[in-house]
Amino acid sequence: MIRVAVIGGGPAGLAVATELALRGAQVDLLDRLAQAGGVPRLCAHSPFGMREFRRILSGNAYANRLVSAATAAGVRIRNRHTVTGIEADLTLRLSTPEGAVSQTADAVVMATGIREASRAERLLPGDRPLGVLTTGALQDMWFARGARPFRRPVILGQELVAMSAILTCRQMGTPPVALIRSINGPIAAAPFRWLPQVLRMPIIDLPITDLIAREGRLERIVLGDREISADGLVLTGDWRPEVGLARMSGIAIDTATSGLAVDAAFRTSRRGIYACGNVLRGVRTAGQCWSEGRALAATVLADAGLAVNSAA
Amino acid sequence: MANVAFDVAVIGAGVVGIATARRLALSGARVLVLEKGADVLSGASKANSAILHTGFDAPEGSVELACMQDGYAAFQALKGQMNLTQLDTGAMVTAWTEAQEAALPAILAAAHRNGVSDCRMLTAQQVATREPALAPARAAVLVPREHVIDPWTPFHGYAAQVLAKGGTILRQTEVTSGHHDGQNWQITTSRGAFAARAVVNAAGLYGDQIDLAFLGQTDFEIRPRKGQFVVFDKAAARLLSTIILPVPEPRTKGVVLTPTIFGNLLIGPTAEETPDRDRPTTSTDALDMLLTKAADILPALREMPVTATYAGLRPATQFKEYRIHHDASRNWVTVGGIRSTGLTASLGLANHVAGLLGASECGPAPALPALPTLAEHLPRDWQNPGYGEIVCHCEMVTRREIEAALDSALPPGDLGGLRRRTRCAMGRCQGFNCLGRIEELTRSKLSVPIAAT
Repeated sequence: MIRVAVIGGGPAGLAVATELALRGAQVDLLDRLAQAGGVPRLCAHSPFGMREFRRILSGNAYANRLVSAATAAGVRIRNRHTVTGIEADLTLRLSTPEGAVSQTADAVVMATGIREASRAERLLPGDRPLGVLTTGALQDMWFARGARPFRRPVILGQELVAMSAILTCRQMGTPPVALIRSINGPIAAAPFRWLPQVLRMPIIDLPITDLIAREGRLERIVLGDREISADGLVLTGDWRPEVGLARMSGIAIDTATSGLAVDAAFRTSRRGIYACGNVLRGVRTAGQCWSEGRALAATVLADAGLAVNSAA
Repeated sequence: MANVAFDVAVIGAGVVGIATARRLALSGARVLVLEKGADVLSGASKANSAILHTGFDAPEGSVELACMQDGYAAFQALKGQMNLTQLDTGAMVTAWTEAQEAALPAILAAAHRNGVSDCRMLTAQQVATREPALAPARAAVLVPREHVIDPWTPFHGYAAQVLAKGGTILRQTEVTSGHHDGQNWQITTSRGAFAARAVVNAAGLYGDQIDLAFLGQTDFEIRPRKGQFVVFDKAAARLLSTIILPVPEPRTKGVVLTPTIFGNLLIGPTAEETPDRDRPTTSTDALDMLLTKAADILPALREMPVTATYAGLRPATQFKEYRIHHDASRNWVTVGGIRSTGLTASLGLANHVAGLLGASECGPAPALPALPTLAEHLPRDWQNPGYGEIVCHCEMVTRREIEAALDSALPPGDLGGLRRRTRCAMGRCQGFNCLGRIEELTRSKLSVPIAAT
């Protein structure tokens, strides 16, 4: 039986793991968090699940569904398993709360997802105060733990996730005081991108020239001759594939996408290692990642010389 | 507290203040450390290039050189005892132009005069063999014992020794004024009054102001010099194993490209005069300049992601030399103008100050729990069972490490302090994944909470 290790338990990783298990592979899904499900767990907004379950679900319910499907298919989900290295012979080095272990696989799928660019990656000027954080950190703080990092936030960016950040801030009872759009990159599709106008948020198209802190906390955002009094700045979008492990393991990165370099069938530069989902490029929906993961299963099995018959 | 006089009050809990407080506490003095920031090491000391210098390029015959070399030796002696970590790198003063190459023989001669006799010249070929990824250089002076250390953990350890010897460290305590009453210094702070027989001014960026407030005069003026840094992804560390020093320019040692003990590559600092003593701000232009410079030195860095950017303020003065002033009649010592060599010189400066104040020899150090190992080349906590969970995956920081820091004798005062003690949120994602969990673990435990109140 082919042994496959899938790294990352978001929609892409769960989809490829489930499909492989349904087709008879022995699959370990390694997720570094206490609970698999990935980014959708942090998203309180709908809709999720149209493509996969033909119904509208919240992010958390959607993640639960994906995890249940994987478990039912026979995937061994290993939570709190952090892959620290991939050897040339596909031996994975893992850290677990019970200690460091190794595991060998016939094939490895990297589905490590993405994150938003940090303050440092954006080369932002000024102080480095509390209150400046990404949407991901904000939603984890608020939805999972009920903490408010600020009272008067400003949103930076205009991708779909910026709209999600606006809604999160409003739900927290701390509606954003402005939206700064001066950031290169994609723009949310209509009607989502009209949200700031609908909410009558001030929209600013100037670059940030200074962040001023007081006692360690953000106090003012300076944009040229304009100044906004704010104790929060949500850095949205500007997605970066999570390729740290791949880079450290010598797997090729595509300089155009900053994601893992793959061929048309999602094979990476290293024989036996595949990739799917957002680690390949910028952000796509959970449903697209899920489809991509499901499609990858056939390639993994075919490369191993196994017949490709859909189990479904 | 004002009624009981301390033997010594140290103003400022940066690297110099903490090392000095430790030295005096070990010799039996009752020590009080007064720090204005939310945590120790939160001023100039929070941002340096973490290099342990040999003093090869320090001014000949200077107190600075003597303190650096004494500090270097003291650090080597303490390493084993206190589990202090060091990454042996060596350094190369590297020449890419004809003019730079022409300057090397004088640098080598000065190094030899400073007693750093193992420095030697490397040919272009030898440089390329040692560092194949480096942009081809013409020649270099190799400084074999110039190394990289953890810039904070040793000082947390020294501070713990101060506390174990009965010393007091007060944070968020700003010294506002003071006078000598003929016997003791009467010190006014934002948290009440204190008395001490002797005072050490290690106030860094505020050194001149403390002199003025206590003595009514000062022989130097702090002219903050900002240094910005860029930290590259851990994958970059494989490209370089030696500290790359430029041939120096008049004002500064110039921009250094160096491995860090945490497994990254670091480039910086810039040298920018700034009037502001408390705003170590970054600027997009300077960071861009550093990125360009880094790629010039090591072309493969052009493709390498940035992990962190930061800036520090060095307490420079109008003079090149350290400003050490001793008023024997009133038991006052100013340790001012300590710039980038302060990390190396700290233990040496501590001995120097102890000598000026007539402190006795050090007694035995108190037995304390081992300091955490944060060095990437050594075994880390996550490699041992029972850590609970990995909180920060970029830097592999465990819940056990965070809890140990929070429960320690000198727990962090703010997120910056926790980062310096554990490295959490210092990696690639800068908190995207872990900030929420860190907020939860530190709730009601930091004097500056992460969440808004």
